[in-house]
Amino acid sequence: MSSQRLFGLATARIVSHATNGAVRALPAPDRVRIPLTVPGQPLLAPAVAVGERVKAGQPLAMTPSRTAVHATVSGQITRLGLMHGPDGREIQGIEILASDQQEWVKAHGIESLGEASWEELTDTLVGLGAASPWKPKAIAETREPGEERAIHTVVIIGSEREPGLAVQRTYLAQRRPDLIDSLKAVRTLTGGSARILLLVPASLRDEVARDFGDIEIRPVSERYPDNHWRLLVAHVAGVRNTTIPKAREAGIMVMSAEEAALAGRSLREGLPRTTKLVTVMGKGLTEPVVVETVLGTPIEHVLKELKIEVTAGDRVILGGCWQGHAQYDLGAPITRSTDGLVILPAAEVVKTAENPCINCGRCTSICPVRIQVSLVARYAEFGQMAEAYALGAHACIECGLCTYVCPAQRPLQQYVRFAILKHEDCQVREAEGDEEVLDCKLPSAHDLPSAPRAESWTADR
Amino acid sequence: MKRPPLLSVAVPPHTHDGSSVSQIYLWQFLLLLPAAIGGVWVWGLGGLRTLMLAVGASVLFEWLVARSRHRPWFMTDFSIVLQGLLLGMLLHAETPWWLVLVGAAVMVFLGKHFFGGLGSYPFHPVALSYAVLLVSWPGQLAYARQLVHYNLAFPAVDPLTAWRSFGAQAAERFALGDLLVGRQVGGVGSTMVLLLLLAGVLLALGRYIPWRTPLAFLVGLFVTAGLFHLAAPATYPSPMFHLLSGIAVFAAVFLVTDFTCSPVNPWAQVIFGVACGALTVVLRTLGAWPDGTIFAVLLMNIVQPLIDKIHPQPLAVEVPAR
Repeated sequence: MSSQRLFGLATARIVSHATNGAVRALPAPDRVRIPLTVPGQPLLAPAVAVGERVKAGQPLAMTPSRTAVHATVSGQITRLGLMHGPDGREIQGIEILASDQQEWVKAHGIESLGEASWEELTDTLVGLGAASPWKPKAIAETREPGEERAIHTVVIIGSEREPGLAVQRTYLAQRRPDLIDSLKAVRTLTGGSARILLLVPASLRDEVARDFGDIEIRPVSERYPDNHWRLLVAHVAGVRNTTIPKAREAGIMVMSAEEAALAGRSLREGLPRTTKLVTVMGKGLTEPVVVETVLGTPIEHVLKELKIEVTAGDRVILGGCWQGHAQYDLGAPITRSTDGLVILPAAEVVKTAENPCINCGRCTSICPVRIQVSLVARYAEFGQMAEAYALGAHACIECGLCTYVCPAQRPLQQYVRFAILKHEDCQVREAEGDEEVLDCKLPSAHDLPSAPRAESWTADR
Repeated sequence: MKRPPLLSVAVPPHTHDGSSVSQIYLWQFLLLLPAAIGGVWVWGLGGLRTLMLAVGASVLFEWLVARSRHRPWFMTDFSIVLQGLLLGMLLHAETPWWLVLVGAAVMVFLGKHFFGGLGSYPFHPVALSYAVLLVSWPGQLAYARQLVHYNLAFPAVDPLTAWRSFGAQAAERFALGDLLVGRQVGGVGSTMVLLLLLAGVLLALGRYIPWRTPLAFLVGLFVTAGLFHLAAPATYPSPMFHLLSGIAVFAAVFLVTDFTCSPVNPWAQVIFGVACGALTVVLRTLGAWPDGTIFAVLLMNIVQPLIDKIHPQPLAVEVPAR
């Protein structure tokens, strides 16, 4: 996945692939693993137990504000406990052994989303276990204090999270009716007052604009990192750098074209979302393939269906090459945020190392948020986290370009991230009056967390 | 039970543009070669001897350092070959062999590895080493020493010495075209102005050297020399003479651009370059040595970390207004 600079004449020009190929639907796996998490919200105890039979679409656990995690297949629950999350952290998860006959929970859909009333839509959403984030009053009794705020702008991002992926593009190019429906519902839900903005890759603009009528469409660059989501959202918000939760605080709701389209389909069918599009690329594939699979499908199932053989030393990444997480367990599941699955053959694995910096400045000049990357990384390398932080390391949007261009192949973004996490950890511990805070001011770059406790769910089969 | 394959794990990003440190120094070395060959063309086997001695000794000393520090094989990048060649090109064709060895030793031990090697040295090792030689053995290093062995088709005196000794009128006798193609007395190839300029343009296009620093250096040199010339045309030569004589272009392309001891931020690069160019003219005009370029480079190397504090502010994370 590396592109050789031809005498360096061309600067790195990173654009998304224009893969408009057909979506390949994968058969359901024999078991799924579903993380019991909802981004940004606490989750209550699971509503099911090991051995219990569940139907597809049945809630497995719910947040206080009634957002649920659903079973994506019907079958029997075989495990409940700690599993490896997609980013390597331990999270609560659930495993379901799929039954031969798929049974669904009873559906209460809305036929015509364009004509549905606000009450009808909110009721259906709450019934689906997807508490409406738009009108806080309807769910006031179930929400946590200060959790929901009014939304004045809804941004639907139709460009990819990372170069090489083709998920959002597929919805824009091939599944427009779902998206159009859903935008009508979004308009009703926001009471017609919020601004709805659809960001589309510039090359798809004309095609998309024909169908979307009066929805505000904004073409965006197809160059990375100009189309990095955080920068897109910051641009809409009128600032230079922000995070998606911070934009949400200010009343800007961000969702992907996929999330919007699937929300529309859920409302129409009255069933929760259970599928996901994933761009698979790398080893054994001549070009990226977009597959549709159920949420919770283990990676090994996707690999088996696509006849990809993974051997020792390969790198399997959930997400893209830029921001995705390498997995050590082929049993790891496809989750809601998995837009890509990359299999890097062992020979193409980049070997970053703690090589000395030659001060060439390529990282600094390519950084989209103007961090002095080389300096920050050197501070981090020698444990001076406060200095690294003071240089503005926390502005990092984790685009990965610094590591991409570093000729010394230093793990630059990794150093930056390390400095941020370590410094914030120190501040928390200092605030708590931790005696050992001195110790955390002088960490070593080799100071890795101990091996995770969660057992592998693949090994014993 | 079949064991699952052991996967390679790391945090993102998982992709790289394929560039490397050795690629940078290899290209710098390859594009310096034409000028070195030009030097050998003019100065013959004597020049070739100096260059090979400088490169060979540097590589040998680097190997010694790598051995004593228990480092892996020492030529993982090509920086030492480049630096050895740069040192050789600054010396003249008849430099005594022991002086070349002393130069290489000072460069490798004191200039480079005393401070921690590539990426850590505060001064350009080549500039430091040449300055040490120049101050310690000025007589041996004078370009005039080699001239007894040559029968040259161009003025047998180096342009800057001619100007310092005989005034601006002497400088005007040098045809600018001659200076440009390297028909002037100097080191083995460090005065091949045209070839060096060409190398500089190619390296900057390939981003193997920064482009602002050398450009700012040449502009700073040209403007300062122009001001001197306007003030007293009879005493100070034209800015073109300054640009084309001595090691001005050599320094612009290969000395002030060294990543390790030059700034990385745009405005810092401009300030560094302009100041270095201006200082070069001042030292040439008022200093004890005819060509003070090397001292200008060293002086600016000292202040580089300070200049690099002029950098753009990061775009901090903001909460948008509601």
